[in-house]
Amino acid sequence: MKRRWAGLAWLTIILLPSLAFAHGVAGKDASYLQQVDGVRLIPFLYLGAKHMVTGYDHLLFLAGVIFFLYRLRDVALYASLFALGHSLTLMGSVLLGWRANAHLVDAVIGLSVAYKAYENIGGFKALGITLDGRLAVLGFGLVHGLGLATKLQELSLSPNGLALNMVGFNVGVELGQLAALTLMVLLFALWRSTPSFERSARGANLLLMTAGFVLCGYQLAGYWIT
Amino acid sequence: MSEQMPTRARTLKGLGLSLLAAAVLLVTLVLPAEYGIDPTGIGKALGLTALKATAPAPAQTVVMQDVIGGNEGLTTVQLGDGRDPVPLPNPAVNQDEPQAPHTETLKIQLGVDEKTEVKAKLSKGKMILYSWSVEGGKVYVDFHGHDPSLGDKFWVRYEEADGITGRNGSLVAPFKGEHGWYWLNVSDKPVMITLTVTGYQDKLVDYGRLQ
Repeated sequence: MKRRWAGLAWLTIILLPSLAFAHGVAGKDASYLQQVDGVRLIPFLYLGAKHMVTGYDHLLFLAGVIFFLYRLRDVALYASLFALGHSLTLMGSVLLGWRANAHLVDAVIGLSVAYKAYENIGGFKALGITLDGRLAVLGFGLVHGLGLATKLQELSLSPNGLALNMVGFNVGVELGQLAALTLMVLLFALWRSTPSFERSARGANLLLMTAGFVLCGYQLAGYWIT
Repeated sequence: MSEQMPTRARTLKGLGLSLLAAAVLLVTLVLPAEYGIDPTGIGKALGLTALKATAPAPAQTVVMQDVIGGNEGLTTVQLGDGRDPVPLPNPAVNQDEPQAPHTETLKIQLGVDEKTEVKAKLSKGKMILYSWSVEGGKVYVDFHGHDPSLGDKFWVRYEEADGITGRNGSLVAPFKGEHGWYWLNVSDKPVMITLTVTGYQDKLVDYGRLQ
């Protein structure tokens, strides 16, 4: 039991920034975005970064992805694939007007967290299933991008300057991801240097998986009642 | 990864544990707090369902009518979480005026088959509230607007009605011009029409009895 609590403590520290905020674009940010008419690069960039840094579903997934990535080069590769995936669907769906159901997309995002955690405890390997981790992170990146897009599409954004504003938002998302990743990589390095890491890794991933399933169930319930 | 090699049984046990824990958390905490769905009653016992009851109203969208133009690109406004006021994309629905609205009242007597016209001179976008009623009988009415600078052939109709005894309402002038009522007494005795107009009309013009 003790090692599981150590895992919980470390996960909490790593994901702390996101726990302080609610997710989604709401309140004064939402009203700001709706009255914008024309190109406003920096505000959109800031809001993109804020959305990423405070988005616990994205951060949980990233934590799962880099859990066992010891080399910075691998972190960079996986983060780039994730960024490529979510940029494609974020830009594509807002600019082309594709619309997905926000609850269903967020449910799949919850599942992506559970999937990654299950892979981290060696679940797929033990079942004899081999999955290309890079393809999976790209694929789930596409879904996370849809999730980002649905939050923006709930607002009525002015088409005036939208393309450039979306570029700003997207760049902001990447900068936010870089900031969150930097902090996470540092904290993971710190955690790995403690003797408890090996022992608490399974417990931490079970917690990640639980969180993923809770997010998924929460969104499915939301889909059911709306 | 851990001191034990991941075996099929061990990883499936982990999956099962996580699913079970997620289900318990969802049913006892998340669903009661977020949606007020509380099948076990534990959410209520913990006071979590109160969160749902007192939570600020979820974001709502209001559809805006394009009353005086300028809303074409923005017909819906997101209302946010109810804490911050939402700036309206088209604030022209509220018009500042230097003066208080003024009220004008007219009484018009119409004999059998007699007709008349009363019109409010209005600038574009100006608003009036009106109320008129008939004593002693019924009238035919044609409520319409007309821009005298474009000649006599251009006019738009707001309402036509026959055999009525009054109307109340409001009008925002769609263009600068004269906006008012043509009345014809369709009773077999004289009637008295009382008209009150309040608002930002330049003035009320009584055209008297028409031939």
